[in-house]
Amino acid sequence: MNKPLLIGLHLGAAILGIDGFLWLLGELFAERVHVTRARIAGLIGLFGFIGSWLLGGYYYLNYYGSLVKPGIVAGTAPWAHKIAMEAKEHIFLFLVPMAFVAVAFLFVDPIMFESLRVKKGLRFLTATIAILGLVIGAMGYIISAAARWAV
Amino acid sequence: MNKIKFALSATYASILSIVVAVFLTITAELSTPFKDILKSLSGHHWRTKSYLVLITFILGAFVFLILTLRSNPSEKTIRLATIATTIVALLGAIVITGFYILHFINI
Repeated sequence: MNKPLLIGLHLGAAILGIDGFLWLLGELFAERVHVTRARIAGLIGLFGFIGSWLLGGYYYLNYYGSLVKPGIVAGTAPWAHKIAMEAKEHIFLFLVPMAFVAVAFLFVDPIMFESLRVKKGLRFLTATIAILGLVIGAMGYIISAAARWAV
Repeated sequence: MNKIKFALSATYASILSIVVAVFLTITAELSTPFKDILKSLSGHHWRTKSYLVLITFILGAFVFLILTLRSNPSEKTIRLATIATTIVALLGAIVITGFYILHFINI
């Protein structure tokens, strides 16, 4: 498979995931949440992260370990793999369950959703999903930079 | 009401799956035999961790749903559960990153 395309699709899906949850975060600040729009944003975010997990996982399992990792570990920035990549690949495992939780709350009856006042907790959760996504993205940039220039 | 109970069950299951992810990550780094077991189950330790996190989340959600259906969760419980998920995820991310930093500098 075309490796740059695979990485591009992995990144694109992750950006879709982050943007979906940033959009949802904005929706959750509305006095009365527009349920349909919030659900669309949440589902875009959830499926973005699922897609990123599958595409990134395929790349990691089939190409990264044999083609990219040896160069980084032998180069001038081995920490890019030993800290950034190791943290990235494991923290990513949190995102899909967290994203599913956020979306599950959006499918609660809208009247009950407003009356339960879970919006504040959901805002924290949604913001954390987006922030973790962005941090993982930054780690991805570090790994790519190390693979290109740290040799 | 069942949808809110389902969402609450998923919240508990996500906390459990994050704890499992952190446990598997750190234990596999500290114990080579444990990492080898993870590798032998699917061909790669990360693939096995991914499967185990997903299985924990799905099974956990079903088990917590059965337990939650018998109770009447309060508004406070639901709100605290979403905040707990956030805190556990942030702590998990800090623990994993901190562990790999310390591991790298041999502390």
